[in-house]
Amino acid sequence: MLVIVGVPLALGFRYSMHRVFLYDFNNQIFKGLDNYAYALSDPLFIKALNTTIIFTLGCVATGILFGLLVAFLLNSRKVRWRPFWVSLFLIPFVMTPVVGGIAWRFFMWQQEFGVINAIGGIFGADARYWLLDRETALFASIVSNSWHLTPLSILVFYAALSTIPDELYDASHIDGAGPFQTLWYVVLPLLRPHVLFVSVILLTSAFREFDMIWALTGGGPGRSTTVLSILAYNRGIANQDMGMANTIAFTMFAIMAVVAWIYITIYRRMLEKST
Amino acid sequence: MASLDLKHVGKSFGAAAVLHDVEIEIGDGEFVVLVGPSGCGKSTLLRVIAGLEEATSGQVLIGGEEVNDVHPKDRDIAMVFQNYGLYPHMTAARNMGFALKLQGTARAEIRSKIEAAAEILGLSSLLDRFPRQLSGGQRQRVAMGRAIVRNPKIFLFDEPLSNLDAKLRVQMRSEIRALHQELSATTVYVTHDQIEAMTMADKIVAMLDGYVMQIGSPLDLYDRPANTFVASFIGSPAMNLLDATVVHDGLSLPTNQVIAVPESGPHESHREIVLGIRPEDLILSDAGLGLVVKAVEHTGSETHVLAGLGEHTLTVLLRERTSLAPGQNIKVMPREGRIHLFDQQTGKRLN
Repeated sequence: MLVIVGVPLALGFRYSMHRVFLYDFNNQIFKGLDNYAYALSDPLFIKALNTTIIFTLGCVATGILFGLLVAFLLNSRKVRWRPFWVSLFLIPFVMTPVVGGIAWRFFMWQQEFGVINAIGGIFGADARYWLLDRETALFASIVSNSWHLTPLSILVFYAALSTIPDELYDASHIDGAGPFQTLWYVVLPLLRPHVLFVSVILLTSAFREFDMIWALTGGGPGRSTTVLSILAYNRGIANQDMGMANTIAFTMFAIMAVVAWIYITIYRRMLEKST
Repeated sequence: MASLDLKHVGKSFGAAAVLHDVEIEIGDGEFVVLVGPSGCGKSTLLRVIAGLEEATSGQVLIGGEEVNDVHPKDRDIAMVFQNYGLYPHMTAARNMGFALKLQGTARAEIRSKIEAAAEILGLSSLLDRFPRQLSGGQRQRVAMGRAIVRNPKIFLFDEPLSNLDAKLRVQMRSEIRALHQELSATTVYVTHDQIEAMTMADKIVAMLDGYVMQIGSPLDLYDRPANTFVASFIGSPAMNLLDATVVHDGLSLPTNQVIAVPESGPHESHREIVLGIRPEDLILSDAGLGLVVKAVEHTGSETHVLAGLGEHTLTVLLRERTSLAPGQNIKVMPREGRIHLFDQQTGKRLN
């Protein structure tokens, strides 16, 4: 464990403080925090950070919203063939993100015979070049990645919903709550810890997402979908600048650590309140 | 407060009929207990009254008005559930006030109603606690408080005491009873426990397999059970039931012993009937039915003697201590006028 996790981590951290070029690997110069200072003042880094935040929040929001929606539908008493629907909704989750990305690119977003434009066409919308348009590429990436992440949230919410006893629904029915009031006052508050849990998982997953975006747009068009992980890849592999790539990676690590710490604090408080 | 009438109420889930032609009249302020074994339809009937289930046929009338198509919240009823049905994320006070909040009642008014109800139930110091911080009995009280604050026309209780321990159950029983006397609201109470039914009810509705078997006061059902089901279900230890045949001078029992038949009973010879005698109505005597003692159980206040009559076992309840031992022969006589006779085919009462 120490070797497998520790050594790359330590090496990566060392590189992030050095000037390391792959073509000039033996000539490493200590730069201290200069790399970090440079990254934070680099407009490309700031733009990528921005894109990452939009991408992450978009995925978390979509994942939670659709997760709740589908879980509610699955949990409804009238549903038949429940196991079938549950397993159907889980398919995106077991699919490799790259495969999912390629499938979305060729079958869904594709401009001439993609499903999205076909459906849009029925409603009279103009066919768009979703992945080739700066204005829509990020949106399309968020949609595709949410498709990949939502099943996890469906699974957790569905499991959580099925633990809510029928008696509570009866009680709120008798108390005079309509379906939406029951949802708002009774069900959602009970799901609060689960929403928090799922959002942490989705957040960390979306924040470091690489393969899905790589398969869809490769970070383009222009830099419109270049998130931090893709920027790090470009710096490290395309520019052969391993020092900067590791600096970016460690900055991501630091951001996630802070976010995780905030979440854990909130989660603890919530648990303390409920025990 | 209001009366509650059920007219020919039937309920089926798909092909399975769980309630058949239920006909019950409940007067204003009456405390009615629906009692029967598991699966007899009593809880379903309560849910039909509450509006949580729709009656497949027949009418439900509250205060003389048909409410079949009326939403539960507009029926002006309150219900106490078996597992309390409290919202785990709300304090006791918010649980109690939730219905009022939904109705848009002013905060101050909700608060004063909650406090008044808490006063009655002894919950005043517990209002800010969450359900998980309360004991079973306290949760039950909060659930009752939630019902009280709404001041409903009808209270519905669905086996509210079945999760409490024996001692607490006895205590809550009298508390619910006292509460009913104080509020004198029409109450329908479901239980499978015949003691609860006997001790709490103004009127008992005994049910089996979705049919109403008998409606009457507790002592009515005890003293004059309408059929063998009620006879065996009400009373503990249960009534002794024996197959018997009418002969010219009385009833012939399976062991060919003969006992006298009451005057009101059937006299057609050879008619097959069921003879019922309550354990406390069998008295030890010098003459009468010969039995062999199988076991003696002491409860402290009374003694249950299980005695064999051929292949059958009868229970004899004695108020005094006894030195009877297994294997001993005893003779018992039924108390005068305390014999119950039922038709063997239909199970209906004959005398």
